[in-house]
Amino acid sequence: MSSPSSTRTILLLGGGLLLLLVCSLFLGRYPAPYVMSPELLRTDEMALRLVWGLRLPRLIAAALVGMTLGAAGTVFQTIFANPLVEPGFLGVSPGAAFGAAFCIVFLGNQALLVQGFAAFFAVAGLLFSYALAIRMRFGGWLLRLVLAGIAVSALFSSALGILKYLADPLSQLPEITFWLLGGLWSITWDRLLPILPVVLLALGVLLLMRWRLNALGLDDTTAFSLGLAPARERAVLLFAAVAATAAVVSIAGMIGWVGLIVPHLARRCFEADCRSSMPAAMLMGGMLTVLCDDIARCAMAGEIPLGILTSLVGAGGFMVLMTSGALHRAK
Amino acid sequence: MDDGLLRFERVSFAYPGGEREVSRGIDLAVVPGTVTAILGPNGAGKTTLLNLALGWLQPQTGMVRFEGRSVTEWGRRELGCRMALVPQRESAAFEHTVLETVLLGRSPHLGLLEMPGDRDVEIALEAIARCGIVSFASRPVDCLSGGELQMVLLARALAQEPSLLLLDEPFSHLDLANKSRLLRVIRSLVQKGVTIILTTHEPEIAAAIATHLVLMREGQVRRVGPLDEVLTPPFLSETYGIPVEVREVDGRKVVLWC
Repeated sequence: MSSPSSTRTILLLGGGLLLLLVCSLFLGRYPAPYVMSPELLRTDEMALRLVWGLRLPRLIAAALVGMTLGAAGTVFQTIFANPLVEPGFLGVSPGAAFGAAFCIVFLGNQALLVQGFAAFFAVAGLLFSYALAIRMRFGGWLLRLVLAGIAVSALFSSALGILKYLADPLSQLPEITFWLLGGLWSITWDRLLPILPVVLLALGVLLLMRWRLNALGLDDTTAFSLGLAPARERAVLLFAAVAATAAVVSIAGMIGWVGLIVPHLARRCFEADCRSSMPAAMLMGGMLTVLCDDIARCAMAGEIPLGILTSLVGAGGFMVLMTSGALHRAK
Repeated sequence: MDDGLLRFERVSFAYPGGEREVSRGIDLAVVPGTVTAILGPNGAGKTTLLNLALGWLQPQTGMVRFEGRSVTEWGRRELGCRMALVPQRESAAFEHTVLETVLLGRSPHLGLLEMPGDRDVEIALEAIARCGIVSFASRPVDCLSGGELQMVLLARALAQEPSLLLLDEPFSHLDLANKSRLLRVIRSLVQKGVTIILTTHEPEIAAAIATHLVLMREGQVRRVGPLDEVLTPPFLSETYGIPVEVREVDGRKVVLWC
């Protein structure tokens, strides 16, 4: 952290996220809508099982999804020196969506299997984009990556369209649609634990290399002259960001706008220096997603898909940011 | 060990897929403590020469040696602590402050996972003071003028504490007062023993600061030597392909052309 005051604010944010998580354990629709008394944990066996078995893994998942998307968004925007890219970019999200739909249509709707397919195709989308960018004979490296990502995303999106067309409209299509809208309703410890090592390791790498990330946003020659190995170090950070993104997308589906809006918010509230904006983006992403998930599972008798809420809040926030001048100077 | 901090030995370079060699058979030795100015028309290969010195571009034939060792054999950080580049221009995507930008010059001195400490901030602040930009150290770089930004990039390079400083057209965005200031900064660096190589389009700048001159044209070094021997009407005319005169006014060389 470059100043003591931003260190303090980030510690406060961290405390805020923890507090939010603890309070959220007692939000839901059991035994009655909205708030559950903590007293109930001692008297009601069902309440205890619900909180430890369902609400806790779900809340941890929500926090990790938001933290990952915020951090990965910071990495992507800094490395591509572009405030309009987000972690699903480079074929990752459309790849995951295709993988999930493929599994639902041809192999059935088993949570872990769908998760595995989504993760596999998310990484495949990235590798495909990367391989395409290497072979492209046009423009600089970053432009080639962007173009390759757009092309691969379009390919997966059209393949997804075909799968939706083939899907059984009564059983499979609603499943696909629900997955695409994103949500954490099916999270249990069984689904959370397999992705935990990947996500925590990747977040650790991003956090530790956050000062280095500043220099990796510079031109190749400049970064090189500063003693960096730009291509190699960028690859490490991008790989960590994509691995974590693929992992969280595989359990949560499409969670829009968090990865785009949260890095902006973090830079605006703190500073462009990733020493502060990286941890801030993680914590703000976590808080935003946990809050949206609280609304998703409490507001109505049925669950509202989380992706709808994050998009609603994200797009609304984006409009406010755009008009309040936060993006004005960004080129 | 041979005489020269930096040596080009029969260096040729062409961009992959490019038909033309942008550097052809370059032989050059830069002596420690000197200021070498590289002059030449647009596209003569001046920036390529700097990128070869840096090790960013690797020659197809020949070798570039720094302190007797091929630049490609140096470790990245090792070389970054000894050689720094001030690029021609730089675009900022986000609102990094001047201090944050200059602090990045400490990168080669820090490990992959290290953060800059108090000592690094101190060195960055010294570099900022030396470049005379203290007054806007906390401003974001993306709202600076071209000349101010140039001084920030110089400060970042100084924070690397290099023994060899490469400057790519450092005077091109500067007004007269800033040019004069940059000349003073360069002179003070030379006094501290830093070796300088700079490219420029202005022969007067070379005359004012350089001890040695390199004239380039079409990827080749046409003339090289001490300033007084090379900054002559025939050599300049040959390099630029137009008639050029050199006059002396109050002991300073002025180049006339039309």
